[in-house]
Amino acid sequence: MNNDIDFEEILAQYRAQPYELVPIQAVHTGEVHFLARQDDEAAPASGEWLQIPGTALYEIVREKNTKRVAATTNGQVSMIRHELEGRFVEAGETLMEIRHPLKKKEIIEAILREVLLLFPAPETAKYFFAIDVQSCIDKKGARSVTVDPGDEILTMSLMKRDTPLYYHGERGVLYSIYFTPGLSVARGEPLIGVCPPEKLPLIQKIITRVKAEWDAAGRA
Amino acid sequence: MPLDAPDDIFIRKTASFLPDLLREETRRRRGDFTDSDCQVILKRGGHIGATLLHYDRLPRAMAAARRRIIAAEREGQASDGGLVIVADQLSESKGRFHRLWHAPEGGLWGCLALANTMLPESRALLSLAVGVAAAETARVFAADVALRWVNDVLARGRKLAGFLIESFSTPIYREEFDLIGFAFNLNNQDFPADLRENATSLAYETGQEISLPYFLAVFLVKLRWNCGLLLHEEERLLAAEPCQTRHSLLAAWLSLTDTIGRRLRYGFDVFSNPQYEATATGIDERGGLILEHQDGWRRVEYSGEVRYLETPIPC
Repeated sequence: MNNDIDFEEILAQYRAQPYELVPIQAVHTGEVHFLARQDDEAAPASGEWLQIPGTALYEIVREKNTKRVAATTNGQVSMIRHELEGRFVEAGETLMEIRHPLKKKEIIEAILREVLLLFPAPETAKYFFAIDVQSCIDKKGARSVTVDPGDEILTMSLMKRDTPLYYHGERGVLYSIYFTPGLSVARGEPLIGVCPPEKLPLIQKIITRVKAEWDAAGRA
Repeated sequence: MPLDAPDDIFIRKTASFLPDLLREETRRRRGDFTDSDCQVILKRGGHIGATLLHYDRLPRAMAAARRRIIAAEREGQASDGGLVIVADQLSESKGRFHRLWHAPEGGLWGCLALANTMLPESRALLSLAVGVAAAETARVFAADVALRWVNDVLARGRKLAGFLIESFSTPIYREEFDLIGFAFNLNNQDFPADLRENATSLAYETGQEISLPYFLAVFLVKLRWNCGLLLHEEERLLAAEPCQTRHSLLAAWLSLTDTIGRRLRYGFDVFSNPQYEATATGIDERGGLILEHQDGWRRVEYSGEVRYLETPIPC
């Protein structure tokens, strides 16, 4: 965990550019065709169950199968690599960028993610807390739960196969929960953020500082 | 009988049915597969049930399998790939989300332990493969059997069999196993009041007593075929053989299900937290259920469970 945080520098960066440039990458190899145009506004999936797809960004064709890829965040299409139109691309190739405006909460989360010990999702699946952990959260709240290396903390559920997940980081308090039981989490996305108890004051300082700065600037 | 004393009579009876059933399986599949493919597929799944243990009574078969694998590792021995443990009764059995599963004498209760040797694409279909094996087995005895996504086996809309799949890693070498708990209501016909409306047994459906060793032998052969099929398709994928048709396992699942076209309720835990109602329109290449909402938009679910909203459709 990083103890030496230069608040001035980080906050100056966010003040100067309260945006995140979200790279949109090829989901797999194939021939790419862009559907969005430069400066288009993009919206993520919506509807009560997120059943309405986000703004269509591009199509990718592999072995006659066409997959339409939609935006998962809101923002403005700020860059498109037009030279790739109709070309075969590798999986992971950056195709375009969305300029996503950050909210105060997102900035706090972004800073916390640099500070907390993150436990990422091993597979795209649904997750829920182990029964003992959930019981503690229900009774006393997440931040009363301390996790030790080797503790069974989560269960990953994919196609009715449940896999227990064991915590393997530094001992700490369950500070942030990034998933909702019943909703899928993409592989690599953080599930929880853990903070060693002695560093909780530092976290609180970050939150107070960002809130004060942002509120003073009159931003959301 | 003590917990760790296998009963050889049950095992011998089960094993005695296997050669004929394996020959019959090859004959039955010939229309869709070549002879050589049939042999390869059954060989790929041939380790399933190679070690078979039977007990009069256990608390939980999955816990017994886990203990045996861990003990083997501690003694420096290889675990039995395809180990199957069955018991006449389970005293502490449970379903998903710690739901009660009544496991008295008369049913077939057990666990299959598979070392994880599959690619993630194949492993994602393991739940479907187990369901297909179970439904195919039940259809040997009764016609009105269908699969409800993911792998519930229903007879005339009532639950005949269910599965609980848990992965675990061994403590020393972190070898990964999938423990597949299986539960078939066969000759047991007395259900607790809260299960009575939704459960049935094969003896009730057919009016005949079911031979447990024979049923298990059929189930082992169907497991060998369907898990072997996953490995066989995986080889084709790795060999980059052009595959214009749907994965054989998905085709088999679709031929056995009554979920597609049904209006249903979906939830990760559909009893305690139903999320939405939709119509099932198909499954995708990873076995995910495609659900169409009333506004016409679709979602694909890869986890969770469904319950039908209308009365059962006769199979």
